[in-house]
Amino acid sequence: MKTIYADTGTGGTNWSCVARTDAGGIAEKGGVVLQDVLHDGHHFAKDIRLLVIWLFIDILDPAGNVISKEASRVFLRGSGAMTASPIEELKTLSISNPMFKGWGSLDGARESLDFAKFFTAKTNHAGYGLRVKYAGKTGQFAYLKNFEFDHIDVTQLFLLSHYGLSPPHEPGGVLTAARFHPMINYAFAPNPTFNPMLERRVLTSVRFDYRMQLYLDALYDKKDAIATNGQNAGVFRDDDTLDLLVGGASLVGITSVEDVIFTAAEKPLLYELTAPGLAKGASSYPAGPIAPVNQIEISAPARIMCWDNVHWWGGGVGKNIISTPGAFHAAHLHWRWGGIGGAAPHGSDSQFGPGGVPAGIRGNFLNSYGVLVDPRIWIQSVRFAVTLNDPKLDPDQVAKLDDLTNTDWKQTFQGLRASPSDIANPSDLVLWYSVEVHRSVTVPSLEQTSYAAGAGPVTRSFPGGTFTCGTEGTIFIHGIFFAHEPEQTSSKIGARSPFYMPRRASLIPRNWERTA
Amino acid sequence: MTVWAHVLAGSDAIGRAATNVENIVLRLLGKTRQALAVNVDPRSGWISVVARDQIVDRQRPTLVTADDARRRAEKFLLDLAGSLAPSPDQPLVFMPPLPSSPVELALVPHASRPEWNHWIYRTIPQLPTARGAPPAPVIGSAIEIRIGDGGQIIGYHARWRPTTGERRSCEQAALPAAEPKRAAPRPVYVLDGLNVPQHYLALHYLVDEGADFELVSGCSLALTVELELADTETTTRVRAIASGGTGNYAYSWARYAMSDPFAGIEELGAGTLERGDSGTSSTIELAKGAPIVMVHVVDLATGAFKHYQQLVVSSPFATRQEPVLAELDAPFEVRIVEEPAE
Repeated sequence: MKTIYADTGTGGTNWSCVARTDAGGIAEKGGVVLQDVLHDGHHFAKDIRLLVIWLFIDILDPAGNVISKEASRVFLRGSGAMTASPIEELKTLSISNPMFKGWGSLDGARESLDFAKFFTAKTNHAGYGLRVKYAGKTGQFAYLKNFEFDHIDVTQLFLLSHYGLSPPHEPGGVLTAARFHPMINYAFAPNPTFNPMLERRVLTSVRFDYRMQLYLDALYDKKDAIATNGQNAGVFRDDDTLDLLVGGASLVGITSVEDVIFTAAEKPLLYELTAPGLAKGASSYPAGPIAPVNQIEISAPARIMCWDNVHWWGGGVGKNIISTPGAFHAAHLHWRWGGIGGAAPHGSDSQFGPGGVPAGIRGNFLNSYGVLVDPRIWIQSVRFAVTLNDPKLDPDQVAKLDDLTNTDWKQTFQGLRASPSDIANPSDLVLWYSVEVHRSVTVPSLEQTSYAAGAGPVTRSFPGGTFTCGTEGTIFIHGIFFAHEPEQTSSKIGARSPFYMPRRASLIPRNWERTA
Repeated sequence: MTVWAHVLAGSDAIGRAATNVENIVLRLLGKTRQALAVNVDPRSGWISVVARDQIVDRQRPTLVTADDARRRAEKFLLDLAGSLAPSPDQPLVFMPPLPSSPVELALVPHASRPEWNHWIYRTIPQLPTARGAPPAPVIGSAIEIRIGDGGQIIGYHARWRPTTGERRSCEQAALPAAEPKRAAPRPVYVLDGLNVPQHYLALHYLVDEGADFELVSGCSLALTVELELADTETTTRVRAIASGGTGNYAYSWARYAMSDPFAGIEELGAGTLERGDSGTSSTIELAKGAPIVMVHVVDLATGAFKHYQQLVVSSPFATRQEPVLAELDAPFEVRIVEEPAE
């Protein structure tokens, strides 16, 4: 059953969409599917859904040694081991914009501080929401012998926010946009019969796999072009420091603003892609073992650099490539902001600043600056892929949702074909996005010595240890922001041309897995 | 030198005018409510007109030329401005002054078929900054017109909050000096967005910061707010620092949780005030989390007002200097255990 939801009335956010459920209005296996999502008449997505929740489990012997590993899938549903509520529509309620009575008088000024003048108590203007609550039945995980959890409760909440500048969407705070948050809130319930003295099962991570067929209007300046409604995507890694050399070069006009802000970019993507976005809360990870060598040096394997964001737009010819930075008519998916954002006016704010995981790391190879995660579940790995909309991976055409996911997440896509297909030209694309929340992360201790010009060696210590996080929280709090403004370009805003760094397009290998 | 702040209409006045404005738009387009979804939001004044059957369902429309599309869009705007001109019965300014040329005129293909669907004409409203001075664009606002089959107007969106027509004079801030090789600061007005509390449009400067742009106060009524964060073991301290006014600021805080945004806004009071060289700041202390934090700021000397909101993500640690260095797990053999069949 398809139900149209539209928040286009009084006080609405101007989002509209279609929600697909079974005939009784209950979510189908996998959860609610949102289709034909538009804002203000601008297309945003054709199909957005969560596919599956994976549980990764260690089996421990009574002494606590890992003896094997298991994985199990949980599909959101309103039958079997779970119950589901009907879709609950959460509408924007009261907000008013009262005339500023007595402007200039103290009475008028103080009156403006009163939130009740704008928002009715116990309502808010967070936006428009569609929510389904799934409750795991007691004994949901009974098929996992002596597992530490009995069941999982999940809330699927699509939060669609108002269009505007506040809250700011990027460090400058000058891009107008609306937010789309396909959030999942989850909590594991303990198993009351769990016996930690016996062979037992413990959760090591939980993974949420999304499929998002974003679709934005293409904008052409010539009627004699071919009317294609294909899409393009680009991936970027922000710079973490305002490099003095590069920054200086920008000031004297040697380089462009893109060269200052990014350390890696592929715009538009040349080929289909699988890629890392975060690795256990960090934005890079070592390619090999690491170990302190002495007090001055560490064994420093190559760093695998993760991407920070994906941008998506209606592709085309000529002027239809978005500007970067800027991207005035595009979907922006940022799960991390690089440290260079700290120099911007809102860069000291945690949305663009230090973020929800420990930061300031220069010890060896990782930097977790600006990660946008719920601090209760901060040890997250993000993986994403951009592929052609292949019928073999279309959940409405394949027999089972099970066929769309794999324990090794990227294998689902890399198994399609040996080499990724070309997608530089506008194409029918799908974004696959996965968030894995780990229970713990263990890090080595080490020291790093640096040498500043004119000063002696400076040694910093980074104590190691095991860090843990919780088993309940909310993912996708950063959302995707959708700007639909006229595109602009200048040497200061960014160029509307293909952009590749650090490698030129001709040197980018046709590999599925490409890192920043 | 003084510049103008433009007073925004309140929701009561907009609400009284909304139905009349909707009827005017329908009459101009020669359509009924059955043919067009038209909405004038009675709180924000934003106007939305969509012929859904044309944008979503229309097959192979006959589109006019680019020049014709532009003429039709601009004629519609002129006609609408004439029909909505302020009068004693309807004193609000629903149509902003527009630049003489569009920011963009583009063709939009159909979402599901490889064919053109309509033209879109987009422009940014402008407002005069002072008598005889050049107008400044209003960031955050936009006018969009869609021109479909046979040149008919099939969509109109005005992200524009009506003004009362009243202008308040305020002292202009000195234009920031441009850094070498950077764009010169540009005067702009700022409309904060749909459902964002705001009383007036005040002049700001858009300043090129090299890696980004920054909005800074352009007059004594244009306040800006920044948040500073500090974590303790169990809480996150959020400090709001307002600038642009006299420094005599009062604050009011609220929050809502991203994990349950519809549970409602929790008011948090005025915070702990601290007087510094550049004015009064306010600090609140929150439990660790990832809420949207909202703050109202008022300049008690001038009545200047600013609402600001921000996603605040706590660090799970007491300090933001803890290490997190990890190797990814090595690939492992895993056995898949399926849920029992229903």
